[in-house]
Formats: sequence, structure tokens, C-alpha cells
Amino acid sequence: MPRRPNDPVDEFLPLTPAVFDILLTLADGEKHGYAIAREVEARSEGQVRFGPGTLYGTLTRLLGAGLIRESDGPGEEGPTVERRRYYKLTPLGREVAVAEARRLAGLVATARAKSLIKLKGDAQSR
Amino acid sequence: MTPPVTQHRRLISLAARWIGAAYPSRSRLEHEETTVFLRDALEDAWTRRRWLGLAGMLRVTAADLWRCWTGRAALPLSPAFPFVYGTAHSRRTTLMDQLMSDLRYSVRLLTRTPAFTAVAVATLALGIGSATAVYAVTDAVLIRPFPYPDMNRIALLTEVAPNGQGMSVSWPNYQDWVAQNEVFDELGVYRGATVTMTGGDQAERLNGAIVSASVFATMGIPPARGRLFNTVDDSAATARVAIISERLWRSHFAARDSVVGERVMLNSQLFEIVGVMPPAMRFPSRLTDVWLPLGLSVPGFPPRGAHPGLTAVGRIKAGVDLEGARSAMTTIAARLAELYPNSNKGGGIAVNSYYEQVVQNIRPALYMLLATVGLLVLIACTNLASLMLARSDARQRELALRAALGAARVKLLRQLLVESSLLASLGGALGLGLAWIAVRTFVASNPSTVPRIDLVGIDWRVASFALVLSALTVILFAVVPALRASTPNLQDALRDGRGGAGRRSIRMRRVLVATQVAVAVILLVGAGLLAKSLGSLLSIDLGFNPDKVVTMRLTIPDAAYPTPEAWVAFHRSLVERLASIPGVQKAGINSALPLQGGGSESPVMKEGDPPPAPDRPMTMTLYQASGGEYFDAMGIELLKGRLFKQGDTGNAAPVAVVDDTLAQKLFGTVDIVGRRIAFEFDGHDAATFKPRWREVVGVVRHVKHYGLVGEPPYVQIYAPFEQIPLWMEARRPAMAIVVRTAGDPTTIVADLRRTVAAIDPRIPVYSVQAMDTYVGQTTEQPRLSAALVTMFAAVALMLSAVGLYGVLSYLVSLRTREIGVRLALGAKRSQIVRQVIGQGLGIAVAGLVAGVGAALAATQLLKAMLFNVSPTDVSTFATVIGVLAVVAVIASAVPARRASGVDPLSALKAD
Repeated sequence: MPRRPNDPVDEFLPLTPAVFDILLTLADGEKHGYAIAREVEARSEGQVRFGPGTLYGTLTRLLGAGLIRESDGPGEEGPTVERRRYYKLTPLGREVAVAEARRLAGLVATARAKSLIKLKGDAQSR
Repeated sequence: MTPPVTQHRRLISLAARWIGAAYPSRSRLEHEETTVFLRDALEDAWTRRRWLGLAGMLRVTAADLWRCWTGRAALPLSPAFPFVYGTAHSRRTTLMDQLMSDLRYSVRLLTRTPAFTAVAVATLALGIGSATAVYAVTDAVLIRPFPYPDMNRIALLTEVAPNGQGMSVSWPNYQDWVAQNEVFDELGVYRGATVTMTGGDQAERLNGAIVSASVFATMGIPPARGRLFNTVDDSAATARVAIISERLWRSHFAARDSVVGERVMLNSQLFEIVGVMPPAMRFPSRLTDVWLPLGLSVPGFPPRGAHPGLTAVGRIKAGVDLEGARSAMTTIAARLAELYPNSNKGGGIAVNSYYEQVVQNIRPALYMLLATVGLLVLIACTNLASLMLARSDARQRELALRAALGAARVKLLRQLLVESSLLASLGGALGLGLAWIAVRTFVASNPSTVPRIDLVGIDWRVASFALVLSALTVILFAVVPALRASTPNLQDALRDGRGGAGRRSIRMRRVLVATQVAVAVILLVGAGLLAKSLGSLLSIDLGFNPDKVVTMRLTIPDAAYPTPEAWVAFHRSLVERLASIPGVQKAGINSALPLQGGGSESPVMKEGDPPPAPDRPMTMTLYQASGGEYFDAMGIELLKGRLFKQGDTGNAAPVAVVDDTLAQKLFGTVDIVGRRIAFEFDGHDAATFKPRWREVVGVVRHVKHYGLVGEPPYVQIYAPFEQIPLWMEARRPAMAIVVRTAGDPTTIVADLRRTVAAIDPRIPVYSVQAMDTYVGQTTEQPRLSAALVTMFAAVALMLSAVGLYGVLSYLVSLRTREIGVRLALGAKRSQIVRQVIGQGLGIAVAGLVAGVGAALAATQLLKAMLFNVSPTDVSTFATVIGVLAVVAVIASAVPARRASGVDPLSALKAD
């Protein structure tokens, strides 16, 4: 995929939440389209749902940006399984996802410092 | 895998493929992916949450589709930089993209002016809906091919009496036709018959037909099962075989494969079923359920001079046309007249296209309705064109600005056309919905005079008609305004903030409104003429009173009642029992019913007349067998003498009740009680000729028997049923029960049926009818036509009033400043009012003149549908002109008031 070599990762940030969701889904390995949609939906408890048009449209855009690439997939699973396209993160995609996660973690840390939210590890006492 | 699972999988992948096809076209691979995705998603949703899951999934898909079609399929990677990286996937603007963007723009514009959009869509929907509904009926009735191969070669043949009256075919004549035939491939003969089927829970009356083998060959429809009749069935009086309809096979024989060879009880005799006809066989009637062979009836056919209700049907040879067939049959008729002068002299043969026969009554009405809805669509388009013009005037500044900013003219034009097409699509879709409702309502009302009504519906042919019509309306209402609007006068428009309205546009709108008025004149005149014609139809003196009368028919099987005595005894006990049913005021029986035609006819003479001779025309009479209080039940007025009484039995002196037309024609007076007449004759030649005299005991009013209009000049005789008329003895008539009730006549139908069943449960009761409903049916077509045209005319009137109002309001708004100046200079407000109304009337008068001219020509086409009304009826034209003038004044009054209310100060300050 053509990518301008000096694009700093920061140029992608912040990521649109749904796009970050897709990258997160691919973080632990290659997946095909519907698997991505299903995982995003499960993780968000049904709040984020992709239709095929939006999903493939966005995947195409991610391909174009060089954040993901097509992979061969796990190979033939059986005689009736159609050929599906699988996607995985490119190194750049992984970098962008990590950067976005860091950025968000920084924001969350600030929110905790200002007692906006409490997380599990935080002290229970007031 | 178990079958149900396979099935639901198949359904799901089918659904996935359909939804997938709704996505914008992309590469084949992507399309495949989409389909697989959808299939998985559907499968998951179904497995997890069934219908709820599917609903959620479809909601998401709908939103997804919307995103794709609006070009927002790809989410921006980052909210800050919503642009695509790289160039490989950047979108080049294609025509499709441009159209999509035009579409989005149009949607925004139309939603911003909801009132305009609503009016435009409603106007279009009304026009397209009415046109589509009328087309749906026309398509089913006239256009859609009949199931018979080469139907234009099928002809019906009847005989013609020397006086030009049509007659059924005499059996010996038919045999000679077949022997001498050179122009027909097949020539068959048939007669309608009512068949009583017994053996089930109760006796059932079926629509049947007695047919020769050639009838099937003529129609060209092969049997669904079994065989057709053959020449043995045509001649053998013992061939008790029957062919049944697929409908009957399903409803009464459980669609058994073994039906061929089964036996069934028809008219109290056992018949073997030899064949089943497919639904395509709708001859002689679409209701025919059983066909019986001709052979059984042949021995009973009367000699050459009599006409036992047969009609011939033939398939004309290839290379011969209808005229050729006609002249060949005329030759045969002449030959027979020479051979058999007593019976055939002066007679002819009528050969008519079967297709024509089916559609001839309905065709003029349908053509008229098509023309009407065509005019309505024209008015709707004119109105829309007017609206579009006003809108483009108002948008002149915006368009000029866009043009100044470099938008190419073709682009502006394209956008305007996309906008119009969007309106037309919405209007067309809504119109199709309206048409669907209209057609369903129409079919549900079950109009009995519309052939093939069971085929009327909205199918792809009708839908494509609506589509083409919608496209056509775009051309009619949009192209001219669009062309005009896309060439705005830049400087004028930009300088004058209000948006310019050129002289051209004003003139065009005046012409449009005048056109509307003209079309409204045509429709209103048509509606007025039809309504007036209907009025004269409805005021025809029937000769009887149909209110609160119910009638039904019964057929007494000859096999069960072989002697006249048994037949008379049955009816005597029926008449006795009918009178005692609670709720019955008067009850009687008669062998014929008013307005239904049919019955038996004969020459009639009074005592003292010379015996009939071939060269002296005799008065023809309809004769009926009557019993009980038939005249009172039917509300037929007694003018002189008495009605039948209990003593008028077979042993008493023969009597008759006659109608006033007989009295006038034969005696020149109605005072003829005690005089003697005869309509039954013994002996076949002058030597043995002997009339059977009956004494006239009463004179009653003439009853419309053959229909409301076009009655043959036959007089009427009634004989007591216990003195069965001579000709009826051989073939006893099916009697009708006639009952007049105090309340709603249909409530006692069950009691009537029980009464008949109590005497003999084998006798079927059928054709139960409230007499006033039946009378209503005879005027059904004129009523339908008048009602529909009136409705369309009302819409047209409304649309043109709106058009007139719109154009005047617009003119007033343009001239606010001028009016202000004139008021400031001392003009009276009443002058302003007069002037504006004058302007409106000017447009209206131009439309009226053109409309009256066009209507004078158009109503000539209505001539055949008008009864006692001239197509140039002066009072109708005058009324229409008056109505339109009043409407024009009202439509002008509001803008005129507004004009007179202009405040000179603020009008001048507005500059």
C-alpha cells in the first residue's frame, strides 16, 4: 500500500471511536469482516453495530491508509466455507492503535486524578 | 441436516442476497463479502433472539444502506482529518456521484418547503393513481390476452329473424351448417344449463353447459386430466359423461387423482366424469363448472322452426376473415331458406367475433374513463408546472447566484430535473398505493357488468404503467420550467432581491391556468351529461315496485316430478306454505322475473282475427306462468278486472291476465275483460290450425322485462300456473319465488329455503336476490361511469380553482407596489377589486371558450352512452359555464381582497 514514508503516527490521532474499535478487534489476530462486526458489537454490549456497507467502506479506507492489510486467513476450514477476506493490522496500524490507546489512557488518568471517575484499582475510601 | 433447518437457511441466504442487491454496485468480490456478512448476521440474529434479533439487524442494515447510498459508507479515520489517505481509493466524481449529490440537495430543498412538496406529491398521486386504477381495469378486461389460441378467429353464430331480431340456433339448421361449412375449422354448438348436483349434504346448483365436442376444439384448450367429448358423446343419447372444472374438482372432489371415472349424481342421474378442464377454460362462462355432452339433449330438440336456445361457436379457417365467414354463412342461409321456406324464409345468420362479444359493452365506458383520467393527469401536470414556475421564480436569485459562481447551465438543469423526478417518483409511488386501494374497492364491489373482473388487480404490468406515466409527467410538468429556470437573467435577478418574474413566465402561467379551466370544462360537461342520462334511466317507469321484494329461483328435476300433475302439486303446496311464513306480506311464483329477460315468446291473436300467415306480421307476446299473489308481491298494478284466484285450476275455463300494451295494441282499449285471446296454437298448417282461447280476466301495467332500455315491442300475458301454457308442458319452466316483506327482505331468506326443503330437500334454491339490488345492478354501468367521471371532474374543478387562485395571488403580489401607487394617487379600492377579479375572469373566459369548443367535439364520443340526453345538451353546458364562472370569481375574490387591502405607505416604503 502506498504510504508516505514520513507520516508521523500522530497525524492519525485522535481516532474515530468506531475506527479504534476495529483496530482493537484486530489487535489479537486476523479476522474476517463479520467476525469484526460481531466482536465490536459484543464488546460494546450492542451499542456499536456495523452494517456491511459501513464496515467494508471503513475497512477499505483503513486499507488505503495502510493501517490494515488483507491476509490469507486460516486456510480452508471445510468444503462448504466460502472464501472470505481476512484482515490484520500492519505495523503502522499497530503503532496507531497503541498511540491512540496511550492517548486515551492519558486522558483517563487525568479523569481519575480529578476524581471524575473511579476504577476498580482505586481506593474504596473517600 | 433436517429439512426445516435447510429451509430456514435457504430463506436466510435468499434474504441476504436480496438485501445485498440493494447496496450500491461495487466490485463483484465486495458484493460477495456483503452477502456473506448479511447471511451470517441474519443467522446470528435469528439464533439468538429470533424476530427481535431480526428487527434489530434490519434496523441497522437500513441505516447502513442509507449511509452507503448517501456516500457516507466509510467512517472518517479521525474526526479532525476526515479525509482519505492515499489516492488509490479516492473517489472520482462520476455522473452517479453527481446525481447522488443532486438527489441529496433536492431532498434538502423539498423538506425545506413541505407545503409545496405535499401539494405537488398529492396532485401527482391523485392523477397517477386514478390513471393507474383505470388502466388496471382496462388491462385486465381489454388488453391482457385471453387464454384461447388465436382468439380473433373464434366467432359466435346466431340466427336472425326476418325482422332483424337475433334468435338462437335451430338444431336442424345447425346440422346443415356443419354439413355445408367451408370456412370454419371447427363448428360447435352449446347451450347454458343449470345442473343440480346431489349426493353431498344438500342439493347444489351448478353453472353448466351442454356442448358439442367441437366447442372444446374451437376454444383450443386441452383438458387438465382425462379426455374431452368426442363424436360419440355428440350423438349417443346414452352417453352419460361429464367434464368438470378444476375449481369443482378441488372444491368437491378433494382434487383426487382418481376423479376421472368417478360417478356423480347430476339432475338426478348418474354421470361418469371423463375429464377436468383447467381454469383457462372460461367458456361459455367463467363460472361454468360442468360440461355435459350434446347427445343427451338431441332427441328432445324441436323441429326446424323452433329455436331451443342453442348458440354456435366456430373457429374460422386461417386465411378467411370475419367478412369471409359472414358471406359464406349468408350463402348457406339463403340455400336453407329456399329449401325450407316455411321456417327459414327471410332469415339470416349473424357471425360475430367472440372477443367483440365479450368486450363490446364495457369498451366505450373504459375508453371514456381512460380519456377522463388522461385529462386529469394533464390538469395535474399543468398545476405542477405552474407551481414549479412559481418556485423557480422564487429561486431565481439562488439559481442566478449559483450560475454566477460558475455552475454550468447543464448542472442547474440536471438538478431541477432530479428534483422533479424525485417528486414524480414520490407521487407515482403514492399513486400506485392509491390505485391499489381503488382497484381493491372496485373489485370488492363486484360489479357484475365488467367481464374478467376476477383478473383485475395490480401486477407488474400495471406497476410499469404507473412508472412510465410518472416519467411522462416529469416531461409534462418539469422540462419547460426547468429550461426556463436554468437560463436566468443574471443581472435582473441579482439586482432585484425579490426574484424576477419575467413577462414570459406570467404569460405562460396564464396559459396554463386557462388550459386547466378548458380541461375542467370538458370533464364537467361529460360528468353533467352522464349524470343527466343516469337521471333519466333511473326515472324510467319499471311497471313494478322493487322495494322490499326478494326473489329466488328453483329447478324441479324432471326425473323426480315426471308428470305435470306432480309439478303443479309441488308448486301448489309451495304457494300455500310461503304465505304463512312470518314476515311475509305477499308471496307468489312466476316463470319469469322483471328486467331479467329470457322467457318464452309466441305470436298472439284476438278472437276474430284471421289465422296467421307468413306475409302478415303478428304481435309477439311474452308469456309467463304465475301463481299465488305474484302481482301484489311484485307490486304490479291491476288496471281492470281481477287477478288470478284459487279457482283458476286446470279444470276451470282457461284464463289470462294481460298487460296494457297488449290491450292497446290488439283492442285499442284497456277495457277488454271478458274478451278472448290466444297465444297457443295446435296444428302446423292452415288446415289443422286451431287456437287455444283464453278469457282475459284482468289487465295489469306493462313490466320492463328485457332491461331498462331497448325492449323489443313484445306485449305480455300471464297464465295461472295450474293451467300451464301449452309449450311449457313439454319443458316446464323453472319458477321463481317472489316475496314482499314488511321489513328487510333478506332476513327471511333462510325461512324461505327451509320451506322449500320441507317440501323436497332435493330441490336447490338459487339466485337469491333483493329486487331493488337487482334493479340497481341493471343501472350499474351508467352509475359507475357517472360517479367516476363526476369524481374526476370534481378533482379537476378543485385543481383549476387552486391554479386560478395561485396565479392571481402571484400577480397581485407582484403588483403590490403598483397598487400602492394607484391607491396613493386616489384610486378607489373597489376599482382595484374589480380589476383583479376582471383579470381572473379574463383567464377563465379564455379557458371556458376553448373548453366549450373542445367539449362540443369530445361529447360526441359519449353519444352511445347517453340515454335521452343530447351530447350538446344546452342546459348542461350552461350549468357548467355558470359553475366555473362562480368558481373563478371565488378564486379571484381572495387575491382581490388582499389587493384592495394594500397599505399604500408600506407598499411604497418596501422599496
